[in-house]
Amino acid sequence: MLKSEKMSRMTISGHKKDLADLSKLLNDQNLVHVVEYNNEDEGFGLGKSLDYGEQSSDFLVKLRSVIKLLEVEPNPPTKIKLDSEIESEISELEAIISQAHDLRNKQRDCDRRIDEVSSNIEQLKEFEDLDIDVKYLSGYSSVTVFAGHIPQDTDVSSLSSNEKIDFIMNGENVVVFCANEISSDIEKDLLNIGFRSIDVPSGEGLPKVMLNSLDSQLLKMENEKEAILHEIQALATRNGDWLVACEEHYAALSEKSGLPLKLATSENMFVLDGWVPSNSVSDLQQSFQGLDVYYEVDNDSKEEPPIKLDNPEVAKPFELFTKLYSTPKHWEFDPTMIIFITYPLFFGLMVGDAGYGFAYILFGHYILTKFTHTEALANLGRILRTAGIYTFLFGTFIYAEAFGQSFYYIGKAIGFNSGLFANHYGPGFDIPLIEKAEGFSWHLPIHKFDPHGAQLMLLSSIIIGAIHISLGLILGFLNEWKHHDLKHAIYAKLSFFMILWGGLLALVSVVGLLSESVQTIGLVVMLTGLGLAIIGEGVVGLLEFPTIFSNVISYARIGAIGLSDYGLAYTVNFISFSLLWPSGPAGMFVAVIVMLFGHLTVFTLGIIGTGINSLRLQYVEFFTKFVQGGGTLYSPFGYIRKYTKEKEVIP
Amino acid sequence: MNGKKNLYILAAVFFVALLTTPAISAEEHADNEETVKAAEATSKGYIAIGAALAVGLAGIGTGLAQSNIGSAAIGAVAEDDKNFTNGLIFTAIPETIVIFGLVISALIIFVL
Repeated sequence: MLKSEKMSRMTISGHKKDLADLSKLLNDQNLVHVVEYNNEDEGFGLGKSLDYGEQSSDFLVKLRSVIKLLEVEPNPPTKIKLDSEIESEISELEAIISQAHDLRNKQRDCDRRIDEVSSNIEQLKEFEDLDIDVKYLSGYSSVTVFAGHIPQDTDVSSLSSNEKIDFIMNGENVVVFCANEISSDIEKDLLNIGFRSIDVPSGEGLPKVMLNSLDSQLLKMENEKEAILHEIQALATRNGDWLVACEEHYAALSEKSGLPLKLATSENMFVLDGWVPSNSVSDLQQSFQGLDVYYEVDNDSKEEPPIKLDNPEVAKPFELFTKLYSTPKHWEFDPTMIIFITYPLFFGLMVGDAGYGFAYILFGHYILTKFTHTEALANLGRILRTAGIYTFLFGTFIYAEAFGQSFYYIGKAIGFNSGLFANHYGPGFDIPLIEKAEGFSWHLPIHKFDPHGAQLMLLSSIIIGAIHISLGLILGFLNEWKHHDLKHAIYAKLSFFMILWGGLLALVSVVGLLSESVQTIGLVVMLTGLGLAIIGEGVVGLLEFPTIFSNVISYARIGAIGLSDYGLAYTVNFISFSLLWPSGPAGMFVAVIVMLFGHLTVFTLGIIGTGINSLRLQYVEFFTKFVQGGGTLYSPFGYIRKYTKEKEVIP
Repeated sequence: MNGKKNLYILAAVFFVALLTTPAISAEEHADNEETVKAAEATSKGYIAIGAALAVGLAGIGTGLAQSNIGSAAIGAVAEDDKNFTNGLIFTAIPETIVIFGLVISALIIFVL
């Protein structure tokens, strides 16, 4: 569980002619992690892909390009296709490709024309107010035309007094005609009064009339484009599933044929270097019986094996978080199992609301069913669902609230105040440090609207932090001990463990919960720890000394986010129920909208804010104590098909 | 630069106003009992202001730090998805500042 699976090293060698059979066998078994050959030995080189490889990659390139062209999104598999079916149908691919290209070309053509007309319209709009046929604005041999804008209220007396020119003006628009000989002088004059030249549109007719006709042309082209897009979409829907299945089949074939590319080969022989989970070695050995290859298994190799994480099915989705950080090395602890417990625990403590918890369960389940074919998303769905269950349980039993509304107040409104709906339930208990009025003791639920509840949440978050970090340090200690030696482990990990707990002991006795002698013991333990850290790590140890406490304080966010989520939800309820609802039907309508959007916001913030913060506590505060990472993930040779299957060959 | 200078001056004026207003209002009460009540209210006000400043200023600090780290992290992730976790970790580091602010603010409210 906390360790990755034991691996055995396996080398296989044989004649090149058997490579096709071996590749098929390894692909079917999906057990051997092949170490790619680095091409460094004399007499050996990388192999060439198997004969069907070229054709498969050819199809694969075509399929991927047409999938991209048609923007096909893979759906969850509904019908599993046989490989023989695909190979007989693949001849239809060319027709689909040419259809797709035709349609895309038509669309591009349409886009180009739309752009042209749009820019024409833009140009014409600049001259919209002028009452002159556009054809008179260009095409002269001895006359120069200046067309453009001048700022409004400009003094144009220099133009109107000039008898050698002719000009038309309307608002900002101005067009000036003059003989070629004087054009440079006129241009200077125009620039002096702030003239800005604009390209003259081509065509014939009054700008207004032309604009009308262009607008109707544009509308027609846009309709045409829409029709083409519909056609493309129809083509994609019709052939999408088939294309995805074909893509998978040829990707599988292409990977299978590429085995020799990873091996060391000589003229006639090949050598494969790989890893197999130790408990699967005998299965593999059995399947080699019909094959003419020589293999050796080494159970105690000194080389670094690939990492196959080994967790129970229910914790598997959380491997996503471990891998996202870094794959642990083979001698390290695999933190997945601990994240499986603590990630949803922190999430649940933070949101702690029965209503949202239930919503997260449903949403997580929805993601899971919608994206079964995308591993990472499905896992996120599973994680969210687990987090939702914790949130629901904490929300019901510890905080007794739903959607920011305490069960107690809900009970008050409906006249039922016993059990979970009572102000308190269960036996009383005492908590030091937080003062409660004389004669009262603590009961569940913890009310977030009560300042004492808030204090308790912050305090317990910090205690959880101290425990979580200690666990990290203990695992780190064991890691160091195993990988280096006990001395290293004491200097690097036990030292900080002593600093943490010595410091906490001293602190607790300072606030008067323990006797003064404990304070001395705490300080001694802490300083000894500090001494060890400095001996072990030098100045870095001294610098890291306060970090361990700031790490613990960082867990206060569990309580803080819990309070702020509650605050948001409470505000939404307050605005909609207390302020808007009583003010009549219109108020009720707005109240419902505010409530929907408000709670949706809190729900989303819960996923983004709380989800990230809970993960951050793992990565920044916890993992840094014991995970180094940098291992290679075990990825066995063989393609796992989802949309297709190979026909069973009966021997 | 001028805008920044103005902002500083404005902030200084705001603080002075904030700190003197309750004191002035307390002086207006001649009656002894009322003065005590007013003083209590004033001290509660100061506590609230202190708590708000602790968490608010720490929040601004975190924001300043995260804005730079965050944009760099987004850039790194855009180049290579594998940088996501490191980006997240680096972006999350200054968050501790605001948590310190929060803890101090909680201490101010609950202990004073």
